[in-house]
Amino acid sequence: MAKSHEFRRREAPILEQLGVRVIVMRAGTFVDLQKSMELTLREEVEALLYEAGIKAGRSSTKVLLREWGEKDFMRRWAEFYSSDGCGWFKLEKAEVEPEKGGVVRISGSFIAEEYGRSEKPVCHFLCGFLVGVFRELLGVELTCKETKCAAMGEPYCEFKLERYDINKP
Amino acid sequence: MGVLNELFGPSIRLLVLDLFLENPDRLMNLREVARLLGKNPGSVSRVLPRLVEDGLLEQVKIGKNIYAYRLNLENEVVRLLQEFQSRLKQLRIKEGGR
Repeated sequence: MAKSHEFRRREAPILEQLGVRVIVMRAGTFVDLQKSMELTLREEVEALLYEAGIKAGRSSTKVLLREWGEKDFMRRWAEFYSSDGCGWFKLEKAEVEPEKGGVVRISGSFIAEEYGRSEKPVCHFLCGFLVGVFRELLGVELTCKETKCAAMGEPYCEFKLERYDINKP
Repeated sequence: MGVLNELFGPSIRLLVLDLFLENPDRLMNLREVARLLGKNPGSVSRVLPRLVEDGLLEQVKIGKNIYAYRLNLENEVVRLLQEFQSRLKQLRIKEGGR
């Protein structure tokens, strides 16, 4: 006999954190979405995910700054995105200066780990996300490149952030 | 917004291609392209290599690890695109005049 799948409607199925609606999603679902888009949109997806990441990073950092303030922000931010919180990654190093940019190193990127082996970096969303986060924290325009990616066999993912002047070529 | 992006987009790849088709003789670096399009350089850097790989743009080394890009006028597809873009613009002007 086939198993039946019953769905019972319950009250208030909305999950909120810090006053914002959140969802719990299987990490592989995000990667499935990325891979499905890659099949039809190729490198355009990389740019789209990067841009989406910038928006997401800016929006979430505004919420977190409002909630926590600037004091001790990076430590709380690192905990929030680690396995104690959202489970996105573990922050290993973040040295970013407003004058020139810097380097962010993470391990356990949910994208790199779920993606499988790749010949090129795959954490485009996180790359943009870091731009958005540090744009809000430092108030300067930044661009980011993933220089090492765990999906390529590296032990961690590393992102190089560079400051740029929007008015200068 | 260029004609290709308007017709087949929106797409960052087409925005970049349109910019080079509008400026066929201009050599531009990554940040200049990004600035002219109002995009983050990281977005543009993701679509530029493929345009070079497809032969639509030329990559020119202008310094140690510094590159600039220009339209590859030797490419037959580029010449067709220029013709297409020009004829489409004429059509738009005609339609706008009616």
